[in-house]
Amino acid sequence: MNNQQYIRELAAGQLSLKGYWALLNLNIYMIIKYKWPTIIVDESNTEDHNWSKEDYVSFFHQFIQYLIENKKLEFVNKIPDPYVEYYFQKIIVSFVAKKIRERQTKRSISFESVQRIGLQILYEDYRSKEINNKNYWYTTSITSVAESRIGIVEELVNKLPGITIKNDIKQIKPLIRLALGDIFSLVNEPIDEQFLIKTLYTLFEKSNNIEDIKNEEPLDVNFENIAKAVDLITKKLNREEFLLLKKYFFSQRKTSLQELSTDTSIPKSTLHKKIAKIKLIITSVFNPENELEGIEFLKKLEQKVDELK
Amino acid sequence: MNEILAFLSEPIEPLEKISNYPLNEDWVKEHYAKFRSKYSNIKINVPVKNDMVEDKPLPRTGQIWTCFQTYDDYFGNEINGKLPYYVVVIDEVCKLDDFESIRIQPINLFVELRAKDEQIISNKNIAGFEFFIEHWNEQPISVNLLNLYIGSIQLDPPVNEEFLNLSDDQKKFREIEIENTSYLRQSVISFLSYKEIIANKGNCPIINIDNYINYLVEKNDAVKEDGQPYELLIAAKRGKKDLRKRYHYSHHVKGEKMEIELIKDRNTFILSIATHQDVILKDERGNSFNPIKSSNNTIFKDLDSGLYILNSEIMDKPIKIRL
Repeated sequence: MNNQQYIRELAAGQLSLKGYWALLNLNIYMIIKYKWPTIIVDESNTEDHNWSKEDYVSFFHQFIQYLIENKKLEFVNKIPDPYVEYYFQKIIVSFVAKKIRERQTKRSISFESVQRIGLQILYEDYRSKEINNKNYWYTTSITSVAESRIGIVEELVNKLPGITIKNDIKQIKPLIRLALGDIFSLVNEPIDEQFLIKTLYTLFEKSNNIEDIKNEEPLDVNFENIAKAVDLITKKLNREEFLLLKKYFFSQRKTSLQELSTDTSIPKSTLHKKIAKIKLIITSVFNPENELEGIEFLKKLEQKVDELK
Repeated sequence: MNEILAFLSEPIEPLEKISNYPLNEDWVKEHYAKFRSKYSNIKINVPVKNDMVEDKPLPRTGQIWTCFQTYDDYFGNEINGKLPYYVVVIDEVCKLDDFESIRIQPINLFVELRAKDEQIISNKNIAGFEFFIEHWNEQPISVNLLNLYIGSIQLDPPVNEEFLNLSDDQKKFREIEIENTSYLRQSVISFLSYKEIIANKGNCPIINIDNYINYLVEKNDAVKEDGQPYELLIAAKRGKKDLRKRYHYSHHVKGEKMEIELIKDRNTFILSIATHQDVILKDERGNSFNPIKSSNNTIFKDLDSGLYILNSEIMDKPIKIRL
């Protein structure tokens, strides 16, 4: 008998010993051919090891369970003979891909690690000052801290995309350094240490969700919404604000408020307020659904700014 | 998703030998007993009405068909697909000379890799599984590739590709699928190549043995050793000149010579085979032809244009003849 007949036996709840042996053998053949890791048998396995006979049979029984629970052979009688085995192989592969995906999305980083490495980088790359018994981290000079701005900072940071920890990443420190850079490039003002570490960790927590979405389906970009948002922002900003938008947000290099103040002859404190107003206008008009949509939005906004310049 | 891509890149091919992993019989029996105690009599299929019919309906838009995974292309080359494919017909049959083609889009079972806007056909009653249509992989194929009629669906308007953001896996998946389905469009590519070749060489029969192609030259052009044109020698023997085009091919099967002669008689061909062997001639649909036998010659008359497969008991590989 061929495998297709054994698959039909299985679907009918009548799998013979010969059929059991043949389908188990097919599973083993695929495991060896495609070099699947042992984590697909036992999710508690932290490291991949060589397959044992018990692993093979355990995987096979888990697969049968999956077939039954998900009714994968419910309409197998609709499938012509030459295609049944291919369909069966396809389900095995999908089952393995699903297990590996679940395993990968579980990979994350602890809060303690983010805190330890984050503080290490802060001491290396940033400046700190204690104000009102709280430690603040910053990139430029600091004289005072407005407590009331924490909410705004939080709102801005929440718009940052998550950092994905891919499976082949060996060192986490460069990723944490990148995340800190993202936060400070967006906020550009002193941030309370406790809040900063919490925010930093949030970016890595987000990353797991993003990886999951990426595996399920691609990130979608609503170009129509982007075009509408760019038009609306164009109407809400005046000519001077456009100029600031171009020089501050879309400059080839990072521009400090001091440089911008010298360049535009606008006092630094006024500039600060104007920049904050521009940020608020942008964030009130458009909130990207995902990282890609955010990137596309910024591209279109920059194009518009260039056109109107 | 790498596991799916790896599988599609290197699937288990039809002729691949699935080696037996060494397992002790008692050990298998022990685990089979455990399996039986847990899953015995759990029936997971349902009785379904099968729409598959013996007689092929005329191919029409929206129909789902399975395709042959192995077939002979227009030159008679044996083409083997890595994977079996179901396709959905998206246009009416197009006829050029004796060749009928049709535009299709393959369907795919790996719905995990569809783009966001690609619709899943989740009604398992149609094909037995859920699937999506590879609208980006549309191609023409020979109608002869359509094997079994599965059912019909209502085709949705195509997805606007412009606004699709594909992940790297989805891009790779599409590349693999376009490559894997190349064997389907080879049926049309070979026909177009044949047309191009005969436009240059002139209309001539082809003999294909083990995917090695011989373009037959008109016998009239051949010159005997004494310098006399062959056709004049025949005319002298018969008393009149035979204007019919003749083609000749010599072949050896296990040391025995087999002379194949083709004569174009108006719109049909006569195939004459000088051999002691019993030979069988079939067309590409598997229909057999009755020969006329005379001494050492086996003659098949009134053969239309098409691909023919000549076989005998002692031949390892059949001789394929494109007329």
